[in-house]
Amino acid sequence: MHATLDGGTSQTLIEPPQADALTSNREHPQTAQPRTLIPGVTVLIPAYNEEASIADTVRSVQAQTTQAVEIIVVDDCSKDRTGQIARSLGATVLRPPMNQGSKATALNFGMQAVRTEMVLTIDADTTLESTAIEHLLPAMADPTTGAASGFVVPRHVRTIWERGRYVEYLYAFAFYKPIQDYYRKPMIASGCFAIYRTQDVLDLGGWSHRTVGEDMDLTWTLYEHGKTVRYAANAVCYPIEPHNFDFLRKQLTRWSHGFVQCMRVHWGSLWSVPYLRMIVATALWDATIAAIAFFVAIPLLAIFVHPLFILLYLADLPGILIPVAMEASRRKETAKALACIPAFYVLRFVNFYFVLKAFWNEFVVGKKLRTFEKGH
Amino acid sequence: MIAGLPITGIGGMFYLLLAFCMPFIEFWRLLRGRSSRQAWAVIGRQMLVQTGVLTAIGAQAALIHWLSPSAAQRSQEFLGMNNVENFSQSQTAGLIAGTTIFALATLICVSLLVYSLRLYFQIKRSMRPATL
Repeated sequence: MHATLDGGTSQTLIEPPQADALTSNREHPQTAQPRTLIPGVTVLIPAYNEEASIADTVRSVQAQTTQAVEIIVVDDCSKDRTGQIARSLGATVLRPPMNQGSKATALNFGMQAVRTEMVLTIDADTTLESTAIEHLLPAMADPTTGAASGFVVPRHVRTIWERGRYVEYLYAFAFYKPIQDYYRKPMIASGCFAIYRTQDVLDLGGWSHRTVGEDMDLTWTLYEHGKTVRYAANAVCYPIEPHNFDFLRKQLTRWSHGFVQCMRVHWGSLWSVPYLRMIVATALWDATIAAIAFFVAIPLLAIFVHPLFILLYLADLPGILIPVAMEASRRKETAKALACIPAFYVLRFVNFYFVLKAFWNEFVVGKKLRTFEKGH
Repeated sequence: MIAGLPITGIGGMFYLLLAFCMPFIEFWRLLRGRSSRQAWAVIGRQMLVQTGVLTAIGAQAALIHWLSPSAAQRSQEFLGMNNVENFSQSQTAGLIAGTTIFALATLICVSLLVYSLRLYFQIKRSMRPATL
């Protein structure tokens, strides 16, 4: 286990188990101890070398209209002043004896200190709108709800990758998520800002590190245990998104391998969860087979039939434009969103490449991603 | 991340169908006293989005058809259509209908596959010997 120079961490992951062994493999002794929980919310922030952003994150939590009982920063053996800065702002800082190597294990380390009924996790480079917790809590009113997450908007929209991500989030959180939420099956409670019922997380053994997509893994596990997950559109957070291709590569590698590994881990149990199974199946189809056909068929038509067939790449433009423009208009950012649309098309090609690469590596050549590299 | 193809893949059609089912489900909930004003607000907004998407797709098809007759001509030839005199109407309509039917058929096939997997794992679980 070692820290990498880019600010990320890496470790050898546990081999993804068979789905039958799901529950037993999620058990971590450090989080399974029974404890008495008090009402309220604890904010848990795993951090590694985040001195540039941790102050903004902690301050945004302190400025909430609904106050947290405690703010815990897990300083995962940072080499910079992350812990000192968080402590100076009044947060409780926990520092494990050695680098935990992944976000999941850092979160589990922090869970030992959580004494409230709810635990809200946010990334150390994410800030919250002042009403975020207030808007997120009602989603947890139903006792069967195990987790809820909010609307994600990139904090900076400057580079091509941030612009593409901005449109991607507007589209996903205005088009996919509300429909998924209506059917009580959001595909993922986004790891950068999500609230959980502490007892549920403890019962499931905390965040598993058998995949590099710990948030998706926990979301699907909650469904498999009969819990629901919600999405609160008015609870807004602002993470820092990858500003260059190097960070983007790390993030997309982790996300796409996380998705593939979750598919593998949950293979036997996923199909018994209504709606989620179709949401995952359509996402899988569109990301692989449909995308290959799309990216092979159009160039062939353009080369052998007529160059204007290249315009078919814009065939889904209205389908993207309408939800994005409507959401952007609500946020009074229409011009900004429309200007970012071309970047979305570039990002989509990149996404497609990383997903196919992940499938190829995980399933065909058996090269599983075992390192957790932070890319924001 | 969105790696797939919004709208043109089966995901677009799937979400469109889910969205258009929402008012009926909510009406059923209303009859059972389990509806809420918030849910109707979400449905109203989704209906607006989906109607806007469908309208925009139709407008785009008409625009492409109007702007690029040569491309349409080529695609008609490629698809083996011989009815050149009715080129304008038949080509565009045929392409849109063909794409929609193909996407719907694919969605049905994927659904069947998903339900087969569900059944397979259900049977597999039920056949597993009980542990003492």
